[in-house]
Amino acid sequence: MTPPEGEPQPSPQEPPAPVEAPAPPAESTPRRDFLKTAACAALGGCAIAAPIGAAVVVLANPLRSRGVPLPVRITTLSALPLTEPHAPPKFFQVVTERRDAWTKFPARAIGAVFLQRTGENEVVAFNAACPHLGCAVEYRAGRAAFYCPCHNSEFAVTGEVHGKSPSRRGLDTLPVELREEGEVWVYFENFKAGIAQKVSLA
Amino acid sequence: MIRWFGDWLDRRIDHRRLLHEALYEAVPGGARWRYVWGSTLTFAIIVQFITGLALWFGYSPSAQTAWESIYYLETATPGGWWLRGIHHWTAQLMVPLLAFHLLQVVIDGAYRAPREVNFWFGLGLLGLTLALSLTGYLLPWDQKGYWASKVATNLLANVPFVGPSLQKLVIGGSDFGHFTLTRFFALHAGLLPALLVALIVGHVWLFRRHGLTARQPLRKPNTTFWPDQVLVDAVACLAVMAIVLVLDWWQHGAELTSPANPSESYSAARPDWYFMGLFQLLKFQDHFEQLPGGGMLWCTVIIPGAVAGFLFLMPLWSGSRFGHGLNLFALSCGLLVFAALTAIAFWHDAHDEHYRDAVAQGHREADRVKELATRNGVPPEGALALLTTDPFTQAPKLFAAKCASCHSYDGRDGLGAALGDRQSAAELKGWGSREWLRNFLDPEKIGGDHIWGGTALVHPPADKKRNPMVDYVLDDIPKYTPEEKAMLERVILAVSAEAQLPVQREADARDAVLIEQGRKEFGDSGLNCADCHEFRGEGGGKGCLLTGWGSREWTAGIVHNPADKNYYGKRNDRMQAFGQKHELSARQIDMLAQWLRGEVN
Repeated sequence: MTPPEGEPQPSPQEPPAPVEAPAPPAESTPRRDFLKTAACAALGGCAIAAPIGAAVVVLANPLRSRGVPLPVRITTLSALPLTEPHAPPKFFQVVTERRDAWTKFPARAIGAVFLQRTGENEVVAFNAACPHLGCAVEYRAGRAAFYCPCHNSEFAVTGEVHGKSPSRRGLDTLPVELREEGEVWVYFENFKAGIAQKVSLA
Repeated sequence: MIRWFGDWLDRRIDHRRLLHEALYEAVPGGARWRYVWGSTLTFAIIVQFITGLALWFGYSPSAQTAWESIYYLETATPGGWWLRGIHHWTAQLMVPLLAFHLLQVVIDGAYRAPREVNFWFGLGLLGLTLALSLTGYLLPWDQKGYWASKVATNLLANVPFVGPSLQKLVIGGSDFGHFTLTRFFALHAGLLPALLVALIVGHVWLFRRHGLTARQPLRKPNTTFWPDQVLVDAVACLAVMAIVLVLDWWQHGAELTSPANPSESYSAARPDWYFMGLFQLLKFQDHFEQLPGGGMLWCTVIIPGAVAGFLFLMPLWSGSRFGHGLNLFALSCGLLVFAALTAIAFWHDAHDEHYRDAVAQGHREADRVKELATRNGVPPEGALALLTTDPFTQAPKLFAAKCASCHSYDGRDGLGAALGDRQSAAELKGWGSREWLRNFLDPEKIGGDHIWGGTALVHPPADKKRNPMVDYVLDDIPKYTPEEKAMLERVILAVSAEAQLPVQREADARDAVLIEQGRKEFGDSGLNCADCHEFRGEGGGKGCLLTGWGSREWTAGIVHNPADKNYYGKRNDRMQAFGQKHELSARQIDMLAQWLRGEVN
């Protein structure tokens, strides 16, 4: 690179231009070099380990999070009349208290279920989240099927995959408990989307 | 003086050499338009840094404040929507710019040895840009960003082995919340830009080391980057900014849908347009289901991974004429397939009625929540509370979910969707009005679908008797003399006045004398209403309470428990005690009552 024209030469009082790095000392030996390298790596590694460690521990904290299925009161049997040939599934929001980090929310919808009465004391519950990718499925009475508006997954009334659906498993059933006075409780949880097996996200 | 200072500084930091090196890069064959893409991208990134930093000054990443701070920026900060619009539209434009840059590099053979590593730096920059788009999409914490990001992070869980842990790390737990925002924001404004800068420095440094790959044949004499190519680049950058500003102006900034609501999925959620091809690929998943690993793995990991892998390896065989030709062919095919998938995705949406309904509903809610926030301010628990406690948006949904299996509203389900079957209970549009009462007391109508026609009150089972009110309407009213009919009309005015409907306020005031007369005739005339109904402290029997009929309290009361003695009592047909059985909260019932009475605006 040629310097632009008219560049004045440094005067003797001015500091000299940057100098080349000094050549390595002549007496260095491979063994000594290795020891120095190892010592530098060890000391430097120790010095940086603490901040990196602290950062990793904090950043990896979500891996420890575990959710447990929440028993939530959904409705009463009287809201689920037994009709022939089968009772249509009814949509209910799952309303319960929820904690998000430092915020405790008062009772609020955390998800939704479809409940279907299948017998005098039998209720089937499906998580309304599509097992394909987690959108909310709708029940379309005209087709007597569940339908997901996101990627066109379709499920039979019984929850099984229907036709050419991208979902690899049927709707996720949830444990139902019938308590006194016909109260319907559901153990609510979400499952990993997109796979053929039903794996809890908790 | 300036020259003396320049000399003084140069002796210490040697900046003239750097500047010279930066500006006097050789451009063989003269400046050309085809070389502008890298510069326009650098320009776009600088724009993103400027606008992004400015946005940062007003942004608050938490589930209760993210949407709110963007809303405030857009509505209460002069120039706010304009700034966010520039950031948004520049991001949109970067994707085609990246594609043009990649195409130009491959077509001109600028990825051949010894430039492979720099090509990989470029692919890294492409990936970082897409990651910046993905993380930025969530930050407004609106319905669109929230639900689209849910899908994106669910896809992440499909990566073999590490997917689920990766997903937890990215969203900061097992579900979306505060930590999802803090993490996405740290990625979007911290880690990813830092990596981007590092890669750009490496990219430009290597580019300068290798020199420009000039397009043959050379058409003009050789020149240098400054000033010829810089001038061409400047025009291109200005054109990019002009497009951004036009889009910003035309679209009035970037969209902000209603605040993220975890309990109400937004079925119109879509990713940004350049991910729509991948989105469409997911819909074709069942075609890949027979392959080992299943369709999901193929559509989300194997196919995108194979495309990325091919791009990565491309330079290795580009030395031969055949290899280069293969790369060009594959790239063109890939782009065509991608464009086709994208077009199919948009075509599907344009022809999907449910999608269009969801978009319209989303727009209505977004407008509504912004209107409420402007009028009432945002409460400390966040803007979502404005929406979830707003009768105007919630009551129609509650009606559709809880009431519309029996009742209709204006012949529809409350949300405007058609009803499947014949309704078995009363039409509730105009509830509390004179018109509603006139229909109810009309012998032609009480047994029809719009009133009680579908109930056991009119068609009792064999062992039960017809409701006495139905007897009265069907048997007595047709025999009324004109005077009695006039009396009945005045009673209708009096009972409807109990509802104190906002829409009837003027009519009630105008007819105050008739209403007063009707109140007297309720008990003291030949109509005998007071034999069954209690009205303003007098009369009573098995009929429902008519004091305050149709008022907010009365309406909420019948929804709470229709079998209460003030309402149907033991004669209740099938209506559920929504309040008593906790099907609906008191607040929800009150919202329904307000909405049915037309009280909300």
